[in-house]
Amino acid sequence: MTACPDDDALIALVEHALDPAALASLEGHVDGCARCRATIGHLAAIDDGDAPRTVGRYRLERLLGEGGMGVVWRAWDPMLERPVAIKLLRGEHGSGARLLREGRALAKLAHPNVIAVHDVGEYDGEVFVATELVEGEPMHKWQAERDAGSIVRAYAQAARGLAAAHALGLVHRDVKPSNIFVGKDGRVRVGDFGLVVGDSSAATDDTMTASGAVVGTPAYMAPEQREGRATTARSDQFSLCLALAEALIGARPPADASVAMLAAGSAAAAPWSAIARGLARDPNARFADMTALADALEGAPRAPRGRVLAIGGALVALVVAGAIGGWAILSRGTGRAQTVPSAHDVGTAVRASIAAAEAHDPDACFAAVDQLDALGESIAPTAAMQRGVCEMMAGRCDDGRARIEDALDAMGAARDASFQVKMWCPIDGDLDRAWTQAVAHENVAYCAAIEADVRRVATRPTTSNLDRERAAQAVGNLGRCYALAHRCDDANRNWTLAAQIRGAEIGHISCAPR
Amino acid sequence: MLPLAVALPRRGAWKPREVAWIAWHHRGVTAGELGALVLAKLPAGVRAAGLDDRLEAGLTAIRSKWPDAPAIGDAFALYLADRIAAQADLANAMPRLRVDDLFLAWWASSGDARGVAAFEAAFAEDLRKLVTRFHRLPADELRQRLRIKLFVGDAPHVRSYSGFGFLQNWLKVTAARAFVDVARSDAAKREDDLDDRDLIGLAAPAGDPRDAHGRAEINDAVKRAFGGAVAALAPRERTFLRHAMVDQLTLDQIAATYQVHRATVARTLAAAREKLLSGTRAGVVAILGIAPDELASAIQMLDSRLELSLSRVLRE
Repeated sequence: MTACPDDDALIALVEHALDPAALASLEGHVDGCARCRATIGHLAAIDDGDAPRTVGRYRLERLLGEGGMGVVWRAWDPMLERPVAIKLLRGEHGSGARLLREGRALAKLAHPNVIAVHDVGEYDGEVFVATELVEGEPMHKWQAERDAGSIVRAYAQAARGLAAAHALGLVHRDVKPSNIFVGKDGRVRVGDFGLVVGDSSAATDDTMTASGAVVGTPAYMAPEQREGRATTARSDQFSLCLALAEALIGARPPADASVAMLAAGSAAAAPWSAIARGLARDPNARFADMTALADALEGAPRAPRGRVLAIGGALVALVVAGAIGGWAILSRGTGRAQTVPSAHDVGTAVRASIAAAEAHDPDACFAAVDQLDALGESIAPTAAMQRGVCEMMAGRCDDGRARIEDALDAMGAARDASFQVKMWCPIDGDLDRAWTQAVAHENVAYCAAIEADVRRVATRPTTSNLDRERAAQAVGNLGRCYALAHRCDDANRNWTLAAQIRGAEIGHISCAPR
Repeated sequence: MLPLAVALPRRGAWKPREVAWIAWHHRGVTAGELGALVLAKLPAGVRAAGLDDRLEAGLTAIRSKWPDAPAIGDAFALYLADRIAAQADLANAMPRLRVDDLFLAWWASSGDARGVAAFEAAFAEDLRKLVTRFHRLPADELRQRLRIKLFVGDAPHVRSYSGFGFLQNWLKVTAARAFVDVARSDAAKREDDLDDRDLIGLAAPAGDPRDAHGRAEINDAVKRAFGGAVAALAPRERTFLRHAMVDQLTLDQIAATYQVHRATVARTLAAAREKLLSGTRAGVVAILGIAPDELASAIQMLDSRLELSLSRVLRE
């Protein structure tokens, strides 16, 4: 057997910098040396791609975020002795040339409300952008604790920054709260310009990576952008107004939301008419430019603190469902002088739904929906949606999802049923994520934490084979979770349940007792 | 303060009084001054071109990361000079000299508890991840053993960090090696708490008509056939399989480590699994001297346990 590799060889391996000849000899060695193989195994397992390295003259220090298109690092610029943010674009997007072009254009843009681009370049086949590092928070975190007036003023600053970029002919295309940063100094800066490939397929891609929160969700896209038509500066305007409305209300209104709809969503005084104009489905009906929007926002009355949705997290989904239903009603009402049910009646019915949700009581939920239905034709979409939630609560996930999607279609809203699905049908939502965490950390505490929920959801009566299979998978995964922690009794218990749900024999088993 | 321009011509010829004077000003030592101190300690003939840039970057980093670190002076300059002198290929290695990392290693091994604390804080996340991997072992004990190895004694191990390359990566390698050794000696001590005989017993359905003798025979046959199938694999197949089964690495992690494409890893693993399964089946048939269809049911019974046996054999 060859000699064990020295530290330098393993360090080079960790840095992915071992030359091919040395790598081949190492590979030959580990076949016969369990000790080295285990060492390399552990090193590879804790490697999350952030072993220190440099890009150009910048030393990468800490991974700040990761998304579909690339990663963002906190880095140090030794030349100018300052921290910077380095965005590395993944090669396969083939947008390197475009990024370089846009980066150079942005580097000419100096505006207090735009994150300054210091440097753009290529290193080792990767395109990178070095920008000012903002010590502060992304907007979606910052706004959670702020009053309506501060939020509106902050978005107005973002509008000023976007206006400056638009003046150079640069459209952002991905305006959303996580791309807007609020520094510790309170100054708002818009970032991540032009890093999104312009066509809509790229955005879909990003959504599908579903790695989490960081990049690319079509949720804030303007209708014309979503439909693949021309994306202009006015598309950014729509996205910004949508983000602002969400910040004030707690839910994203549909395009063409009326002033009345918006105002009904929040107790706060806010420049609703300006926001509604920015949310116009027709780009020509929006403000002429961002500066006009910023002026309109800043001309707004300073509002007292007031957020409506101070409701426990578990209820948010339901309230959002109700609120979106509310949009449809109110917009019909204002559009066509139609009689609408009183806010009081709607409120009573929605409150009944919330109580049902708190109690995890599908029967009470259906009763509340009946109450909504009784309020007349105009409330039908809300009721239909709510009924979907009730179905899910009763364990009929597919039925529930179908109802919600139909209701959303009827309202002309996007088919984004994910929040309800996660809340009420967690076997294909949050519990999977919890399980993934359990596996990643090999920590039995995660398994135990999700067990009650998994079993509660999985053992509900259902007639859908698909639901049953999902339930069996979730329970089987739970078993695997325990198996990884060498708790074979617990693993077997869950595998047996999974087999029962499937009505099959217990299948593949692999658990090593400690 | 002595600017570098003044210091350089005196290289190698500093009087002790002058060195002491510079050392006295150590708290705010400049890169030029530190360079002068280091050069004074280097053996004649060592050319440290590019040192000033590295010192400049290092001092800046040290001050921003550890504002209350001990003063930099003679002792650290000597430590630095020793490591520069020990570097065989200095001209090529110089860009990789990491003065701040070297300072942290020196500080942590100097008997100053604050240095140890700074060291552990700097790499807390890496250590946490690594310790989590060894969940069979008590985490506190692992950490304590590493601490003793790194910082305690006449020759604290952290002093063997060369200063070229990142200390973080050096520490990952050092800690992984140390923990693996602990785990291996621990496993040897405990012996294996589960024998393959038990596996066969577990796998057999209750009330199985096969007698104990028959089971032992099948057990032995499976074990031998399995070992033979593993030995017949190509080295790379065996290594990737072990990483996947025993070390629980993902395809991406294996691919990144061996700098091959993910698809290559997937193909290799699939081929290895297939060979292992067919090799084991053929081996059992040959060892027991029976027709393949006669053994089908016995093998089927074992298939569900194969993965477990596999990881046990592979671990060896």
